[in-house]
Amino acid sequence: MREGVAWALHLFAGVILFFLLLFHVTQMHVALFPGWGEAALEWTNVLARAGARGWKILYLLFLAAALYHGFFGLRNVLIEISFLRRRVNEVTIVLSALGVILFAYGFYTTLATPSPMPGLP
Amino acid sequence: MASTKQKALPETYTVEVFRFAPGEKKPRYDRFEVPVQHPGMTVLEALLYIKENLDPTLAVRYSCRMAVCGSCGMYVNGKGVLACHTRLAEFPSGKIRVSPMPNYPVVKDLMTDMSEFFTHHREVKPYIINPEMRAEIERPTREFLQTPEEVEEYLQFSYCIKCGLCVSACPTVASDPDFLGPQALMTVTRYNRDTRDGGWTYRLEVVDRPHGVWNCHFAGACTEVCPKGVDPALAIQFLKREAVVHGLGLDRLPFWPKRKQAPLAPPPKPARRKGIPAPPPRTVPES
Repeated sequence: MREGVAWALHLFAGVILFFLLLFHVTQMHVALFPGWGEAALEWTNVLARAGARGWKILYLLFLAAALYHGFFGLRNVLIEISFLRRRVNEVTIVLSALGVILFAYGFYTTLATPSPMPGLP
Repeated sequence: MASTKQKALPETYTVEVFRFAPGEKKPRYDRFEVPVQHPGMTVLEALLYIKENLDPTLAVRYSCRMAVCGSCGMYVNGKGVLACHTRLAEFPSGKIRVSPMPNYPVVKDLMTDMSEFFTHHREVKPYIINPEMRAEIERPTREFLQTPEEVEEYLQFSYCIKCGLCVSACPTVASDPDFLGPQALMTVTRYNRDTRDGGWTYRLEVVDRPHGVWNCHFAGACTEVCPKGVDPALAIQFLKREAVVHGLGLDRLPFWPKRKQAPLAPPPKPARRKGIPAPPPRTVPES
């Protein structure tokens, strides 16, 4: 992939993360404000969300964006200021592999959650 | 009412000069007392006074003495300047400290090794490349036509005198010596925006890579320090946009504005009037 395209995706992933984080925070932590959405934090509702297809897609997108944004940023830091400056390909391959493994793990965890959760209404 | 009386300049300046010679373990600062010879005396003149009268071993690079050649870039009181373009009057305290440009190896005293700088500069092919008009570029017969607006697109970037101050001020160069640097990247924009040029894809290949244009963090120190008023930070942002557009293939979409190519001027009208004989045949064969 061209460096410029990778960089543009890095920015794009950052924008996606911003909106997904906003959504995540308002859905999961808005109960910090009294009278707002306590029901969302009830365990049965958390489990229900974890099993819902829409939420699964949302969290997979979140995971992909976070991993890409984080690892591409880390790669840039490493090849700019560390002793790995002239080992660009090696750093890219190792971090890409790590990202793919973590995504596969997250993908498995997300999909392993039954949809819909048994025992829930 | 504000007083128009100017504050008198000190009669003598204390000039601390960075000293280092190959083989020495540590650099040091030597202090010299330099008399002010005229109100417009520059830092370069002060250094030349030291060299001529106080210490002939002082090494300083200079040439034109009029801010055109870009040879005398150095740091005065921590600020990157051209020594020939900086007057002592700008430092009314009567004391200055002169150092070589950071981010470059020091050859001796105030002279820095610019070879890496020019390697990066050459790497981006800083000249007009036009494969379709190669013969015309190499043996010009007519001029290329550009509108004033097309010239404005790159004009300010062509004012660069390659003094290297932008690279010395760049925080990214300080942390990543392999970074192409603001001067080379700005040069890419200067030629890529020139409608006579056709080598933009080659230059994008050079800069669209690790340690290329993407390492610029837009600190803006290059623009801040440039003695010619060039804005390399802006040029790099243009270049990032160009690289993304080309990398994503947006410039191949039918509705995307196409690059302009400067046309050749029409052939000149024959200036010979009737009755004037033709010139004699060539005596030297055309090479």
